[in-house]
Amino acid sequence: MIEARNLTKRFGNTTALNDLSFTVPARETFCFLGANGAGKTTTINLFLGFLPPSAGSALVCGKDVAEEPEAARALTAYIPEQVALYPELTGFENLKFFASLGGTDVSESDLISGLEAAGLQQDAFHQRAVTYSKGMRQKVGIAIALAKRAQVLLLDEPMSGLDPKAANDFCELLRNMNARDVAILMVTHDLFRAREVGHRLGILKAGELVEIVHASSVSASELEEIYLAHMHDAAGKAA
Amino acid sequence: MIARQIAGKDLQLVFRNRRVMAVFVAVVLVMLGAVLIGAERTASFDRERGSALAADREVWLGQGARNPHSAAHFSRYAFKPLPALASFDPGTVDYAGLAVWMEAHRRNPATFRYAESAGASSTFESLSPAWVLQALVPLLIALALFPSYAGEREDGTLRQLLGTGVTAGAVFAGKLLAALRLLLLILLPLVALSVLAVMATDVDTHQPDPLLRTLCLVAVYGLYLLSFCLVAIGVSALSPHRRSAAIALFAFWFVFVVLVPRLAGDLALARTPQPDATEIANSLGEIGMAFWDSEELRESARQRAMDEYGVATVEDLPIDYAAYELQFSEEYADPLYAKVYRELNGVHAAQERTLSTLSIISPTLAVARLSAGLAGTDRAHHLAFTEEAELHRQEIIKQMNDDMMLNAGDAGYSYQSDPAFWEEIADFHGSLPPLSRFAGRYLWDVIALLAWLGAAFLFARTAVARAGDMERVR
Repeated sequence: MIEARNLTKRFGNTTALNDLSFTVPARETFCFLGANGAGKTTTINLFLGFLPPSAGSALVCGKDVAEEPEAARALTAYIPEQVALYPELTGFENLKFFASLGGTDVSESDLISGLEAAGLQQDAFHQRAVTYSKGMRQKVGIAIALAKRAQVLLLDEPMSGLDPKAANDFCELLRNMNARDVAILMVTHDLFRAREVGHRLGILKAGELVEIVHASSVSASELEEIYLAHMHDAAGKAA
Repeated sequence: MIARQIAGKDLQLVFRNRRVMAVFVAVVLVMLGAVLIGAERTASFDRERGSALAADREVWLGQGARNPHSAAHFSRYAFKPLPALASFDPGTVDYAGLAVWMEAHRRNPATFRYAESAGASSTFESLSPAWVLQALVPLLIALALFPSYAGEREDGTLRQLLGTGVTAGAVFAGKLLAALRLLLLILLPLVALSVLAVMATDVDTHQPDPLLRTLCLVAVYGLYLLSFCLVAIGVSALSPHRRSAAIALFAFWFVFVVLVPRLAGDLALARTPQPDATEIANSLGEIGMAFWDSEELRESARQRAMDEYGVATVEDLPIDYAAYELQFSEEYADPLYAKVYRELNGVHAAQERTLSTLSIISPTLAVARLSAGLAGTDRAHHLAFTEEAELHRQEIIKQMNDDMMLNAGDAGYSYQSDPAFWEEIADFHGSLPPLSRFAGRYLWDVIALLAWLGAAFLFARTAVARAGDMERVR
């Protein structure tokens, strides 16, 4: 479970996040939508323990990230916009290395199963990662999360730049992760993919959570209207 | 556990880097060449020393009946004993002189410098295993470790790594462990090659404390190279890209390994200039003649002889007075020679103190001094040889003067010793001093090396903590 309790982050006089509170239970995907600078990546960084909160707390499976960062991160998998892999290692070797950091022994067959479950083609397992496309890297990122048996998945623009087929495959992978009791927090600009994969969608504006929408209750065009209304409101206020 | 995983992955990346592996193979080959050249050169020096000693002995013993003072002028050579470790680090062997001519009336400096007979090649420093470890291996370390953090940052894997729950401290421990393993991989073949070469070096002289000296050499080079590993990790941690890390480390290597030691040598010479060689030769010549040119001194010799034997005139002496006077002149000149050499050695000591002080700026200076000291080839060991040779000279000249004094009767300079007497004049074999004799001499260099290691560790630790913070807020 992912939980934000009155989470606030200030950088000097600028408030990046203000009094953010939400909960993402297991088997649910919560998507944050918002313009650049809305505080989406700051939220991810707070849950990764990369930044300390100014007030409030970020909890992963009940563990306060600021107080127990290593324990919280041990339960968390993180997939950025561009999954970073060691280019000179193969996909399998990358997976083996990152899986080994969890401190638990993962058998080679489990690793292979993880790559298969993530949808990476078998002939790519032992190719060096320098030859991988972005979609293949994202799949290895998912395989790492599977091998780690993460209970929480944090995604920062994971489908940006993926072709439609790869993005569709990735959405399917996220649904499979949900089926494994994983709670997912994804930040994205992509309203349509967010609606496709998310259960609830939170709209962030200038560091505040202005609305939460249930994905099943709105059509794609309605979601766009809601989102743009908030953005225009922001633009109007700014003007 | 995590550190081991990170270290294993880092080494895997190093081994897959063809450029690093090519340089590694090249360094091992250069080392192999250096080991073979060093071993052969030391063994060849020792063979030449053996054959020169034999030739010197043969000529000495074959001189037939002869006046002992004439023989004392003809005299003998003291050949410097070379330690087997000279094949690892020749130190001052090339230019400090390999033999001292031990003659009457004159204390000669060591001659037969290898550098003088090496022709055009003397311009270049000898290729030795010590030089490879001091100069080339730090470059190999820089080449292997520059991507340590900078590569991870450029590829985005550092943030990925920190995002898995691994602490910045664990990443540093992993990087350090990888560096230590790499160091071990570099040092093991090099140490094994060096030990084999030293064992195979055929020298007659017994070097005291060979195991202690070898272990100290391994420790000194281990600490020296470890400080380079830490600097490489630190620089890599602060560099945004591989290229900037590589450039910074190459500049560091050039300045601290190549430039500073050269400038330090020039600075030491500028601060304490070498005395003029002609002036020294003149001083030595004047000392040799001082007694004979002074009627006052000669009179005091006569007076002492008469007092010693309780006679009123020189003619009443029961000994050959000419030989007595010769020995008197030797004993008069010995402390004067000692003073000139003490002053000359004082100049060298002042130059060495400058170098030793500057070793706080460059660890290469500290390690070079320690290495030659431990190998038994530095100036201190050379001075021990010249002092021992001088004592031997004084002893054999006295032996010959005594022979003439006691056995010449009225014959004086016409007296000829029995050819069997030459066998009583001992050959100079020389001995190598134990390490404990010079232990205090290298204290500052040890402190400088440890200070470098400590500073490198703090630098790396701070740089790595900063790198972790930088990644988190990206």
